[in-house]
Amino acid sequence: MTRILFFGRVAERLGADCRLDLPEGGATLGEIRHLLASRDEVSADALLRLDVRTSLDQVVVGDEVRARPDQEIAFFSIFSGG
Amino acid sequence: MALDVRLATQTLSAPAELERFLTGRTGDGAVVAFTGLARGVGKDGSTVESLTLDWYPGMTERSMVDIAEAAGARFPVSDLVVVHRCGDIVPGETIVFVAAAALHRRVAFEAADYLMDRLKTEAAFWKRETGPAGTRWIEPVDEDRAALARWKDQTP
Repeated sequence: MTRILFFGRVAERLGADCRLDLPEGGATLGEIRHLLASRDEVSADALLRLDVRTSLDQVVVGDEVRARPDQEIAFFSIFSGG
Repeated sequence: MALDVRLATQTLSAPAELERFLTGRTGDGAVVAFTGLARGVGKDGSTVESLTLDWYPGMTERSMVDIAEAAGARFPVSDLVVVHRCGDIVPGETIVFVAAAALHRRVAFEAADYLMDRLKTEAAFWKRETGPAGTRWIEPVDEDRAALARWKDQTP
């Protein structure tokens, strides 16, 4: 199971993290976003927003990027800055 | 040039940081320091009882280092220090301390100003205020973005 991390407004709705069974070959972050969003209405509302960003191994990337099951994946609202 | 970039989970002492930054500094003519404090009043005048800065361990530190490295590349400073609080902060506590050392004051002023404009908009934090009416998320406002934009069309 791959651990998916949440931060900001996303964490407020969905908690700090969740587990997802990813195929061995991985999936794009957009596919992962939609897989998570299909779980329930709260997940859909928290994740299917233009201002919810994603990162792979702590680097902010776009939804088209493919993630392997052993990589660190996160979804979060825009940074507030310090 | 030395960059000292840290995330502080406990109280941040601006006087202690400044003292450490000044100690033994014989080659520079200027040190500019900025201390950001948690305000007890929100932008709309409402009471703020506490501020919470959520962070992503690793990514947040990296975002601070990136900003400090950019400042070091842009301005001929001798050293920079950036210390940022995370977690729960109450009004009056220090949220951020930055200092820049340089041969002359203008460079030190500009580097500290640049550091703060970028930290305020681009550092990987998620900030929320808690007051009598509950909790609300705080995101960069137009004023913060305008401050950052000042640096886009300037050469160092």
